[in-house]
Amino acid sequence: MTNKIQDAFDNIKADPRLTESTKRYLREKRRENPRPQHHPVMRLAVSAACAVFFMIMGAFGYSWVLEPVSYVSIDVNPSIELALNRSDRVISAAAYNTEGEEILDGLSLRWKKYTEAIHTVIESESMSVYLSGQGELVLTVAADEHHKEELEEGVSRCAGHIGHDCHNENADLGTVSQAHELGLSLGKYNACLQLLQYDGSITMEDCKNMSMAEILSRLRKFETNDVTDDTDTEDVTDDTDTEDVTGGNPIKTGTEGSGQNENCHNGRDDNTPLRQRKGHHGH
Amino acid sequence: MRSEDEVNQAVERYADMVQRVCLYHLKNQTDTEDVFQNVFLKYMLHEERFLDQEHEKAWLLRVTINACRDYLRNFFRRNTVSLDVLKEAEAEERKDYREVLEAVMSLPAKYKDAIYLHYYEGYSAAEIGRILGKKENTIYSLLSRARGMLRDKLGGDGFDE
Repeated sequence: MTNKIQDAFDNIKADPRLTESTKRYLREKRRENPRPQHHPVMRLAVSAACAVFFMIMGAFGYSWVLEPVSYVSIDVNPSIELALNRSDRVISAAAYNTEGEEILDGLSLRWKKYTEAIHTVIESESMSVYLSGQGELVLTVAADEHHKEELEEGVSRCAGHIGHDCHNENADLGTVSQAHELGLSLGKYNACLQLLQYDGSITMEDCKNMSMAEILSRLRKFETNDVTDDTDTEDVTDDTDTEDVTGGNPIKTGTEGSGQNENCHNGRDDNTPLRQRKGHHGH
Repeated sequence: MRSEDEVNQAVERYADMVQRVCLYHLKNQTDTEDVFQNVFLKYMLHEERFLDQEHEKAWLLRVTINACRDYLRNFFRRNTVSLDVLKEAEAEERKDYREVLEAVMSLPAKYKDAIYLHYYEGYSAAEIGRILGKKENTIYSLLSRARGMLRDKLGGDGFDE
C-alpha cells in the first residue's frame, strides 16, 4: 500500500503550462515591484556599518549618561559625595563614613539635578541632627573645564540658600582619585590638604581620623592667625619696598593686592594659594 | 528578492511537489494554480538564505501547506469541494491509483499532510513534526489514525509503520 501511495502521487505532475505561466507571473511581479538586489558583501558592509554606528551611539550615550565628569562633596561630619554626569545629574551617591551611610539610607538621589540632590541631603531628617548645633556645612566642587564655572556658581547659589553655616569650596578634578584612594570624600580630602599646608606636624593619616568639625576648627585658627600676620606683613612690606639697584624697579615681597600668597607663613616656601575658598554663607 | 534564475530553477525543481500538495488540499485546478503561483511568489520574495536543498524543500512544503490551509479558510472555497483534477486526469491514471488518491484526499487536512510527507516524501515523524510545527508524538498519532482510516476506506491491505 505504501507503494500504491507513492505511485498514485507520482502520477501527479505539474502542468508545464502552469510552470511557464508561473514564471511569467513572477517576472511581471518582479517588474511591478523592483527591489534592489543587494550583493551579500554589500549587505555585510551595511550590517557592519550599522553595528559600528550603534556601538558608537552606545559609547556616546554611556559617556553622556553614565560617565561621572564632576563631583560635589557634602561634608559636615557626615561625608557624602555625589558623582554627576554631563547633564549635571546624579549618577551615584557615596558615603565616606557611617554617618554618611545613615543619611543616604533611604534617600533616592539618582538622576536628580545636583541642586535638588544637595537640598534633599541637607533637608533629610538624619542630617538635621548634625546641622542643628555648631556643625558647619562644606560643599566642595570638582568639575572639568566645561562644567567648572556653571557648577561652581550653582553650588555657590545653593550654599547661599541653605540656612546653615555653609560655605563652598572648589577643588581640582585630579584630587578626586587621590581622595578616593585614601577613602576620603573630596571635601574632607580638600580640607585635609589645606590643614597640612598650615601645619607640617600633622600627617594625612592624622587628618583622616579627625572629624570635619575639628579640621575646620584648626583651619579657622590658622586663618585667623594668618589674617593678623598678613596685616603685620603688609605693614612691613610697605615699609621695606626697595629700589632695584640695577633696574630701578620696586621689588615687592608679596603679590600686590592678592593677600593670598602671603598665607605662606609656616615654613612653606611655595607660593600656591592655601585656600580656594569661594564663598561663605553664615546664618 | 531572489534572482530570476534562482526562482526559475526552484519552479522547475519543486513544481511537481507543490502541485501534489495543492492537489490533495484543494482538489481543483483553478485553486491549485492560484496557490501554486503564490507559493513561488513567496519564495521569490523570501530573502533568507537556505542552508541546503533539504532546508529549501522543507521551507517550500511548509509554505505550500500553510498557503493551502489559508486558502481553504475562505468560507466559500471550503464549501465547494470538487475532484475536477482527478476527473480530468482520469483517462491517464489507473483506477486503483485514483482510488488511493481519493482515499487520501478525503482525509482531514492534518492526516493528509502526515500521510503525504511520510509515505511519499519519506520524512520521519520528527522531521514532519518540524515542518508542521507539531510534536513528534502527535505525528505518530496522526499517522496511526490516518492508516486506520485508509484501511477502512481501501480494505484490509496493511500500511507499513
